[in-house]
Amino acid sequence: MSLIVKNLTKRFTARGTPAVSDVSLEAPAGGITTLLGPSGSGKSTVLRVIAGLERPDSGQILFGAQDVTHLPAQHRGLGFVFQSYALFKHMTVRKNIAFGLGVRKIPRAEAHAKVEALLSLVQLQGLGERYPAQLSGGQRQRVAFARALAIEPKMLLLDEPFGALDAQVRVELRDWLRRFHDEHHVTTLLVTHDQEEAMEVSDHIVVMHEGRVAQAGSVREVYDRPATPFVAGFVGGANVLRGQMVDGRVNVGSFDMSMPHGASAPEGAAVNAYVRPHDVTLTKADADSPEISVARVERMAWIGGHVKLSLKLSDGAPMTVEMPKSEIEALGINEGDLVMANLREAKVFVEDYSI
Amino acid sequence: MKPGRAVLGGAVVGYVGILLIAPIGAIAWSALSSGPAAFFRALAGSGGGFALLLSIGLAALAVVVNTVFGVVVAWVLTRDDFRGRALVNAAVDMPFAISPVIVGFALILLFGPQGWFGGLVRALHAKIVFAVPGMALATIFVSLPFVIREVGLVLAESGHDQEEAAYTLGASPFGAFWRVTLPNIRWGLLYGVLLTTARCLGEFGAVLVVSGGLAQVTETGTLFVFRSLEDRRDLGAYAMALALAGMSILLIVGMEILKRRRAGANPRQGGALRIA
Repeated sequence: MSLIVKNLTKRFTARGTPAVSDVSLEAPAGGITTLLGPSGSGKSTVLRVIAGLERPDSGQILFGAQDVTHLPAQHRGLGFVFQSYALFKHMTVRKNIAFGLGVRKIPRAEAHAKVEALLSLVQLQGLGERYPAQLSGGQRQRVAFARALAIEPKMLLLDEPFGALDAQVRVELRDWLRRFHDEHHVTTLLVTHDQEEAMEVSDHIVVMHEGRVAQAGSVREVYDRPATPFVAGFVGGANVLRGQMVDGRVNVGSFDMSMPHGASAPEGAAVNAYVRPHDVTLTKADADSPEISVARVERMAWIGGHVKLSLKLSDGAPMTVEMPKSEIEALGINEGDLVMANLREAKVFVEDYSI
Repeated sequence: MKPGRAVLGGAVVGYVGILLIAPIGAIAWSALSSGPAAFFRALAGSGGGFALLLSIGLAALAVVVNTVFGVVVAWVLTRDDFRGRALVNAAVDMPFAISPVIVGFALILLFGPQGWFGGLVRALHAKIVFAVPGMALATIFVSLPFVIREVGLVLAESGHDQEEAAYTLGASPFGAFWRVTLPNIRWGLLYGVLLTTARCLGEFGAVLVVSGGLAQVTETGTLFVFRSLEDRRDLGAYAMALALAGMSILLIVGMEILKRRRAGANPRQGGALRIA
């Protein structure tokens, strides 16, 4: 079932800025859609309004063709997974999972079989009689998933479900979610501030910023064609180089590049270039290219198969570069070396300075 | 053990011993020194039995009222943000701060013959002041904060997530309260009830002012102790004092046993403790 949110606005205080203003989005049936944004961007609020846990000030929520804006949470039939797990502390794993079945008056034998099936789905066979306090974080979150899935939800809403877990468990559970989804195709809406998680798990991404939708699209669209400076900076962790238009070209610090095709900006306009760490190539040789700048390697961090280099450009601006370990080794670059930086790609935004 | 520690330990034992255990020991000694038969005679004699039952009855009533409303108030104070919330929150502590004598006086001011609502009370042919209803009001007032504070603490700590999870799974607000909230707050609630009961049994000042202290009519256990001392019936005073203190001590011991048994039989309590 697809989800459509139309012009949603939600304020928590009567006169304050709205937590969510005029948000419209769509989560296609059977896909994983991710609401991505920094904390305070309103993404969790949107999710809670969809779940019926918060009342919107205005706007509409549609499940398929059904308007559920005024339907209480109890009757929306959604599976909600909280960052804090929100397991019922005084109930065993089995009773937690069976809670929604009990509310629906499912016959005992049927409910029992269903709980067993869910326990094996989330790989917790044999732990049914444990209490939440006796489980690890990853196990608790899996119980929460099983509990949400027990009611055969029309949609799964996940509010930072991996946020409280260790890095390794997070990756495991994330892979599990993707595999589960590929088999069952439950329409899923995931909220996260982790862009890597968003890109790895989702089919569609909705980037949120200050209570509004900054950009919505496929993972590649959002990454390759960021619509706003915020998206360019937030997704992909770009370096920001500041400069201005000189002779119709973009002049940022020691770099000089042409405007993207079809774009233009007045002479002297302030521009920012967003450069992804892996869109920079370093060389030690003297290459003669106008988009090349001399920089000093301040620090190198060897992270698995690639190297993260902190550079200081000739104009003093810092820049982070990521290159494959093999390339760095082949070039023989070390800390303190002077290198040439060549920008393979940059997103240029003209600063909006309306007076 | 280092000498400093030994001194500190000794000081703690001395402090608790002199201030808490010695008085109760003295009462017990005095009450029982003439033998159990004399003890029960003194306790039941000259209105003592009635006074004890009235104390228990008032405590039971106050516990029921303050438990039901206490849970509601605690719920609203922790879950809702409304105009005047801070005021209500501060007001709940008033019974801790105001002397019970003043509470009794205030009730007379409101419901006494010359009081603000005195006419209304007369018109309804009711009797509040110098009667049991006034004593009940006073007892409820002085023991009001305990359940609210104990339950509020647990509610604030456990957060709203579990109830919201229950809602999304289809539970009605009442269903979520009954099956999720109540089990979560049960220890706080039980502790609040215990403190309320103990406070009610020990109430003296407010009840003294508002009751008039008529033997067999409006005399509670503590008032009986007071009158017995004035009338030089010391054994009666000791006996009632021991009975009241004994009930309170039993409540505390029972609570401890219950807590431990739950913790032993049910590993989740242990788990929760380890995490904390």
